[in-house]
Amino acid sequence: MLMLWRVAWRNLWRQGRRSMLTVSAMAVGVALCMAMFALIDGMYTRMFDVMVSQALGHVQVHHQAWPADQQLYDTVPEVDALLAAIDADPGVKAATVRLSCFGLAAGDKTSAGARFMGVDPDREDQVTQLKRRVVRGSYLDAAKPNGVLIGAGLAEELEVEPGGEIVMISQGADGSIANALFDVVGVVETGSTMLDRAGVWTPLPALQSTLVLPNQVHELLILSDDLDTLPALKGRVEAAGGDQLMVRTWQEANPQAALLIGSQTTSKTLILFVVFSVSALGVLNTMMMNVFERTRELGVLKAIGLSPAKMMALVLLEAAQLGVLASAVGVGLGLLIDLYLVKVGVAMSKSGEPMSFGGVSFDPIMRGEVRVEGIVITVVFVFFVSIVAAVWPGLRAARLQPVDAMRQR
Amino acid sequence: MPIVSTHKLTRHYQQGGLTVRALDGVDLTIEAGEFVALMGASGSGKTTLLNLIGGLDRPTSGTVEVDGRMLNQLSSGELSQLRLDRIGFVFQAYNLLPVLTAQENAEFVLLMQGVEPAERGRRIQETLRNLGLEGLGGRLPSELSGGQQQRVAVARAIAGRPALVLADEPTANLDSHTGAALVDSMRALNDNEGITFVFATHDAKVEERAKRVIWMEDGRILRDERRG
Repeated sequence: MLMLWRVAWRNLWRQGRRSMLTVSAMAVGVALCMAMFALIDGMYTRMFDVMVSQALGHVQVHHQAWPADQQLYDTVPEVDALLAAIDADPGVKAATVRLSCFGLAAGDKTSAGARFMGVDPDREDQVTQLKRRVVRGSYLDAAKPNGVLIGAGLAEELEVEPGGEIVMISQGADGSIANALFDVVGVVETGSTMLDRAGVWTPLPALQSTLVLPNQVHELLILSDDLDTLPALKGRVEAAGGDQLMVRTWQEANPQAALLIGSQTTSKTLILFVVFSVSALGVLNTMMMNVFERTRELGVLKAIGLSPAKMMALVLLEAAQLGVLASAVGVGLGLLIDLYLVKVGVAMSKSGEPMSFGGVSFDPIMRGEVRVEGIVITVVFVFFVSIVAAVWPGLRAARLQPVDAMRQR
Repeated sequence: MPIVSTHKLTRHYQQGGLTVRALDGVDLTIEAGEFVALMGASGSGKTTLLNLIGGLDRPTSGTVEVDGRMLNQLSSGELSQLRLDRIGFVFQAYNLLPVLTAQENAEFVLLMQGVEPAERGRRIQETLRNLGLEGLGGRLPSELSGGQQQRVAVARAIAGRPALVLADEPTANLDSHTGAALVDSMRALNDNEGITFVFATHDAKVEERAKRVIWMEDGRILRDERRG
């Protein structure tokens, strides 16, 4: 096989310009795929972060009636025991609790509809990494029970900045008007259009007190280390929680988001198919030319005893070498492009305004995210395509009749 | 024991609506260790007979037996294996692999046979030395003269220790001195190692050195002469 490899390699460079053109075309394809994958991964990671990690958690727990009615009274029973069981589960990375309601937030001059969320600051940060989304001011602090975070859009609408105050008006569980004065300690940008425009995060006890729901929460959000084992985790939480609860994975909680995020596989497959169809034609053309031009030589090889399988292997090895070269050059080029996409990014908006898609706001500069699996898939695919494209020329070589082949000039 | 045996061997071609009888019922037996020259004018059937004996072509009718194997009963893969292990070929146009050096060309068959590296190296050096190719092993075919290329082709043909070497006009592209030297080399291999050689040739120098000369005409054996 070593000799076949050597013969294949030298054959490749007998028509060096042709081989280089084919390798170049395939390498550009590899680099293009890597760049597209980096952009897609960057975009979908952002989507997953905003739509799932921040909003849904990997698994979420509610009162059975909550998803349909979102009544203030539909709280999770015996939450402390359930949270302790969840914390003890080996499949759980982090978990948090939330109490939430809709109401009116008022600044000095204006007011706006808002979604108030009472959270445990530490747990919330572990699950949604809320702390690093603070763009002005500081994060929630247990020492400031009335300190709240507000979304950047809401801050702009209410003309409130850290150090200012907002008034909350809603309805309490006892039927009273729930109102409270909160100090704005920070402004956050989550990337979610809805949360940035209407979100108010308060310490949990403050909102429980305002809504007259002591020790009550509406939801538990759970993060897992392993997204593939969510159904099992869901089963364990159901077993720990009892019949009154509705436990759902993020895909069940928001099928549209699951569909949207799942579509990245389709996008990547389509890109791979289009780019490497062109590459396959290049390899096919090169290998057919090689076989046609060397028919006599291949006839001699067969005459001196090269078996049909080895004749085929010789052609496939040449194609494989094209694939290896294209992969090496393409990955090098692709990494340079990926580096640019990660560090500098691509301007997607001339106005410099953030773009919104599927409820997720994107920076006007779209940045890539490089994943090893994307590179591996691309390399494996280009190698596979090279081999498949050479099967036909290889079969032709394998089926040559020596005496006919050696008559060719 | 016969190394080659043909029975009513026929090969017809269709050419422009006409049937060409390239070989017409040839019965031939060649014993192991013979040094045979097939003589005859162009179109007499020499090359066709060599191709059929070497399993490079399939007969229209009749049978060929080489080294105890009936070729018409072998698959393409089995024929390749038989050629690799038992038959060496020398062609008029040398037909060396242009991308391999002289040594690599000669070594190719041994590698395909799976011969161990040490044994491979020993046999190649010995073969190149016997054929006067010492010091030329690292050259590409394009860097060798016609005579040297044909010697490399002979080296490739015999390196795998075949029972039979089929040579089609091996001296046709060589000057008389080089051609004679090449035939002497092959005759020495025949004498010393017992390899059977069958040549298709017009060359009188080959005929002079042959132990057996078969004259062919119109696809038939005209005369079969054994010499001392």
